[in-house]
Amino acid sequence: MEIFINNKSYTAEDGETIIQIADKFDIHIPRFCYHKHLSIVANCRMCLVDIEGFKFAQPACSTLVQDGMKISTQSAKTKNAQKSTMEFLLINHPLDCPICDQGGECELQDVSLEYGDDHSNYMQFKRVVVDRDVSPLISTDMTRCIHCSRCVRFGEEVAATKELGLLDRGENMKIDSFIEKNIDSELSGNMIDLCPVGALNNKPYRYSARTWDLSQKKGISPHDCIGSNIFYHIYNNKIVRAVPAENENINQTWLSDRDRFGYEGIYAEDRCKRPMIKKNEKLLTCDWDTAIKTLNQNLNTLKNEKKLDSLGCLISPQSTCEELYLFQKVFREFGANNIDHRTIEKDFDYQQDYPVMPTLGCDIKDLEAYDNVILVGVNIKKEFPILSVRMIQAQNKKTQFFSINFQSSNEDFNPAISLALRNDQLREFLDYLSNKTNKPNYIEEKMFHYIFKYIKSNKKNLIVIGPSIGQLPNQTEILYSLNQYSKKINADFGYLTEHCNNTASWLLGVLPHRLPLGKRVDKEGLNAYQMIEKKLSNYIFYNLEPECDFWNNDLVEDALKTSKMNVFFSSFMTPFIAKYADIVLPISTFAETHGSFINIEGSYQAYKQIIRPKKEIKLGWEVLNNLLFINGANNYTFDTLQNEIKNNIQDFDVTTNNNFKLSNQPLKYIQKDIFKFTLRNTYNTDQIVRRSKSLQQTRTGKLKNILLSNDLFSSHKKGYLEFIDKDKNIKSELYNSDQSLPHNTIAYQSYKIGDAFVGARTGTVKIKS
Amino acid sequence: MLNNIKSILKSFFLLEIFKGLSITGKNLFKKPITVQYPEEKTPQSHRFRGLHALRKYPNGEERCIGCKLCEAVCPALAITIDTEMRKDGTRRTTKYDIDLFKCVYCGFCEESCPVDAIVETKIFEFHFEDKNEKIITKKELLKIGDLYEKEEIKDRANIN
Amino acid sequence: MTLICTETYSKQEPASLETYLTLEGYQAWQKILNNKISKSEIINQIKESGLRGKGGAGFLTGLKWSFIPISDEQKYLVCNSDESEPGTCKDRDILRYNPHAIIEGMLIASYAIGASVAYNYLRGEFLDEQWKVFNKALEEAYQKGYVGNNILSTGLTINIFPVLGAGAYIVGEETAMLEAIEGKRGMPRIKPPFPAIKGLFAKPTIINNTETLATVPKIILKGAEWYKSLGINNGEGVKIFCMSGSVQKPNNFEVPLGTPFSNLLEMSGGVSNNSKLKAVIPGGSSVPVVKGELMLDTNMDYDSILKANSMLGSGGVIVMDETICMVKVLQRISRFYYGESCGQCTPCREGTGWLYKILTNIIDGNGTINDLHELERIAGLIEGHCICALGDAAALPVKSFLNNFWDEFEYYIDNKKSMVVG
Repeated sequence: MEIFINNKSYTAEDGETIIQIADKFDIHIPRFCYHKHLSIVANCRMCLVDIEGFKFAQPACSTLVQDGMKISTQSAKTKNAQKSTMEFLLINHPLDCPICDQGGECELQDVSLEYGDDHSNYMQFKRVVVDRDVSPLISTDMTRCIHCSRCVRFGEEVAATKELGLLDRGENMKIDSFIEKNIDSELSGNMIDLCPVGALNNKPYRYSARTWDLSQKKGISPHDCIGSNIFYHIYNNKIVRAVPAENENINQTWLSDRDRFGYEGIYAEDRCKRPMIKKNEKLLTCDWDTAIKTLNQNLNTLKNEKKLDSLGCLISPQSTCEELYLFQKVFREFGANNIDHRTIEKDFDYQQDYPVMPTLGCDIKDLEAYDNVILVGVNIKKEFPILSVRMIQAQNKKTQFFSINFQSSNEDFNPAISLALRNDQLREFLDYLSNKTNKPNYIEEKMFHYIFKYIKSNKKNLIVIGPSIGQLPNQTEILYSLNQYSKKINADFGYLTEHCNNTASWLLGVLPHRLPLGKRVDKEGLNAYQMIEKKLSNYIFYNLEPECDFWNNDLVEDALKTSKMNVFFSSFMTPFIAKYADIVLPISTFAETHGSFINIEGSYQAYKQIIRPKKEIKLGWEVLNNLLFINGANNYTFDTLQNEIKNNIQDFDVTTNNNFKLSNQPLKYIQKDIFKFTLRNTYNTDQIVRRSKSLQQTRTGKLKNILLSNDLFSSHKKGYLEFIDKDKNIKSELYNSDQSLPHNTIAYQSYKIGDAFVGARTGTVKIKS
Repeated sequence: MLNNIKSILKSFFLLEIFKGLSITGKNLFKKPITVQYPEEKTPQSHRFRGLHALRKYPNGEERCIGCKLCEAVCPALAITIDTEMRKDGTRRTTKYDIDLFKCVYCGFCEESCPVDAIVETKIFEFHFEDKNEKIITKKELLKIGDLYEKEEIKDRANIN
Repeated sequence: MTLICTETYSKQEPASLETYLTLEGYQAWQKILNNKISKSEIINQIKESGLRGKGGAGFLTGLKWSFIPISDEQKYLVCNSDESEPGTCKDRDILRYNPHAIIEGMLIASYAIGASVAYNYLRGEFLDEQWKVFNKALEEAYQKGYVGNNILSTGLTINIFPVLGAGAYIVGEETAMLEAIEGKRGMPRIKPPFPAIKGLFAKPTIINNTETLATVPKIILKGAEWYKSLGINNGEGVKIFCMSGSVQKPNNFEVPLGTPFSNLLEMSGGVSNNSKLKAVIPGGSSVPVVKGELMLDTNMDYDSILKANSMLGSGGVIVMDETICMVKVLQRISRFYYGESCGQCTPCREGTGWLYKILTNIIDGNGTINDLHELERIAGLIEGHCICALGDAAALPVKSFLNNFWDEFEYYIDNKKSMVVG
């Protein structure tokens, strides 16, 4: 149809609103309450426009276009209506722009410049609202609120956790949390962006800079495999805050709190600042030349003595593609075969048949095309908050979700069923679904009813395997059963991985059994678990925190104790590194280097250096390149390196089916005693997040207690909990029951209990009675 | 022809010199306008813009709220400010430096200040013996403010 | 005089089923069920009768019903008994004395639009008496089988649920009422979509005033022509007027539309305080005020009152005599809207407070002439810029009071006291 705005003709679709057309053709209409991803309420009345045939100006955000509609955004009627709204908004606004952090990027400020008066006729008292400390991430100045209700609608519609609401009425209406409760949503930071004024602001950023002082650099989220696009705002070479960069395919206009506040970890006190070498049992600072030369010398000695089998090279999949590629290249060039990134896994029998690059199996935006999505071993709300937004959108479009995890998942969307199963039960359950033998008696009948009713092979099904499955001692078994089941229901297979760059780690061959692009290795090396378990005499750790990033941190300590050379490429000086390192090479974090990540849908996303590192900290890829160079290889520049990787992977077909067939049916795993596992706490997933002060102050960040399943808790009468984990005796008073756990289960929420480490991520324990 | 004669006569009687000397002669008996600085001083305008100062409220609280408008408006980029949240939750500066070599004494900082914190006093006699002293810090600015608060109040009353 | 809604008022035990049955109660309902009168026929009959909504807007009821889409989906009827307009108290008495008429009306309306569920939303202040009376009447109707599943063995199902409000004026606005019934914060929705297309629980819904629904049974029973004959052209039928304020005998009077105001004043015993008539608000506090002299020459019907620059509204006639200070009246009205604005949209949220604060300032003796111009300007800014009619309702009285009684306001400002004695 044809409509006229300011006497110019535009084509519009049926069902579009005026503001959508205006936005499409860059016609400015001021607005506060309208947001393209939120529902329309038309309550700010700022977008009133003059429409021919109406006595009064009508809101552009809610008025649907009609054929031949004549709209004027410039007429006196429009201007008067908008000016009157502006006047009303300003009478109770405190106008404390000089100290307001929103000053300079405030929508009210911008619009009042155009529509506001330089003088107010309002001579009465202004409204004052008492602020409450709602969250360690969000600061509130509710007196500034203009009641656009974007934050409320965000909570209702996008995050699906209504944490803010409208209280009281009329002029005394205020936005507040219903009960004195912190805002706990993993997506709460988005309310800061949504707020058009300074009522909800970024707390860690509070008063630290003005918007016009900041420069903006684009980055990619390093905290999860979704690859959210982020703008980092920099003041004096320091990241002071992060805001989402719009990407309709990935994060739309949202950002999880982990991505928004995770950067704080870069400024942790325990950053490695200088290279160090151990001399006479003491770790001393040295210059870079010495450090690199010593490392090179040691490696060459190993090479000459043909002892490279005793070298274990481990890298974190949180590293950039360039680092991952160079890492495997450098150490393969030396002749090492023990190269791996899967430090949190134990069972590797699946690896020969695994896809070259595990992906989600579909684009993130296409999730809503599925009828049924079966989530196995993942709690989306906690582990991939930004994906939760997509899932809510998908659910609104009739996608059904089924969640099977070790703890019945508390999700923002409503899974049709949410099962909590132990690892041994999980296999039985899956086998029953595919073969209908041995019906498990611990699952309610109605659950099966649901499953068989909805999940049918003629529907579009997707099985998503979460990172928690990787931690299981019987991972292969579960994968095998899932595989069988997926064949039965004709489902696509997808993965959600532990870190931001697991996909690239697989694709670029940071593996003991594969070269880049899945080519076979002549001589297969040891996998990550074997490297630690076999107590090799030499280790290279890249970007890994030995305390937390391994399947079993006790084993790591044992291995570090006995080995002859421990080299740490690390950004942080952890206690283990301080104690056991022989060479420490301080490298950049994600923000201090150029780099690229491949996200879970297979998109390659590159970004430029965001901030410069401190003087003695080098970029990770530079250090690896240096190692190559002094051994006579070509010197890479960043561009040649990136181009080489790009050329390598450009022909790789991302859409390759993730479905794979395990050739051998694995042995049945028998779970004895109590099943224990470590929860992937949202704010404990990687070394940078662990060091983000603000995130650690949130309720989720403070979770440290041991969780007991109901049956264990009720049979336990003592005031403290004492149990044997392998041969370790653990005693703790910090424990409580959790009814979302299956029977006979203990869950750790942290990698430490008091000062002791929890040991293996999954396994068995015995409670001392 | 006639012009030639005229010019010859002019130069012969040294007319130009007398003309010039007449100005000297006139001024010789006039009251001299020179001021014996520093013993004597010329009067200053109320609007004179000299050395900067940061003012305080009568209760001793500093006025500056660290809004950085002066920093933004300064055409010579002479002002550098860093801010933080003070313990009582207010926005305060941790650093307020003015580079007096860069400053052009335009007074924009004064004008932009929403709380009348930064002002330009009438002080114009200041010197440095070390190049580093050209940057005056928050502490010094507040001290100048303390010393000249009374005059400042008077001046501002006059301007208004 | 023909009484419809107020028929039972003068009887013993007016609210009981027996009383209602003696007055042809539930006969219309039985007639429909026995004769299997079709839905469209009922709607046509209501359309023909010219019955208008009696809650304030005066929209044609039959026309409203005909907007309901013909489909199998769930539909709802909502009876709006959230009567909170200052000066209006007609529904209160219907609920108290004639609840069965409402129930019968709701049944007929539900049948006509194809709704199997009907809600009656009562304002919270009705908890003490009307709520109990209505519930008791509903129980009786259920027992007799007029309501419920398988009504009078015809297989028809209509269930009626009373809902009690919590004391918000704005919930009387139809879409806000839907929100409130859904259990949300009572705030008006944006229209379109209109409730007839997407109303309660996003299903087609018709919302009618209590008085309108209580009128429906008699129209069905006696025919559209009978109802039409009661009133005048474009003012068909009767209407309850709630005479209040400076009258000797305040009461509800059900009179044919077109009755002169002077008659109505006479019925309520004339102006009190031995004073002269000064001004009248003819349709509840939201409508413009009319000067006394003009009002005495006006008939009580839609067109005549419109000619006097006001509206019939809900029929809440507030009479003011010479001893009433118009400044204080306006301040009181403004305070009401200041307190009752839901706070959703900007002009109403901020504007009502501003109006009230300026008026209070004037009452306190701190006003200036400028304030009066300011009041007029602000009222103009609010008018027509809000989601619902509350903004207009707050702005219109201000405009009309200033228009009609400017001198009195000026006097108050100059002398810091009221023009009238007392």
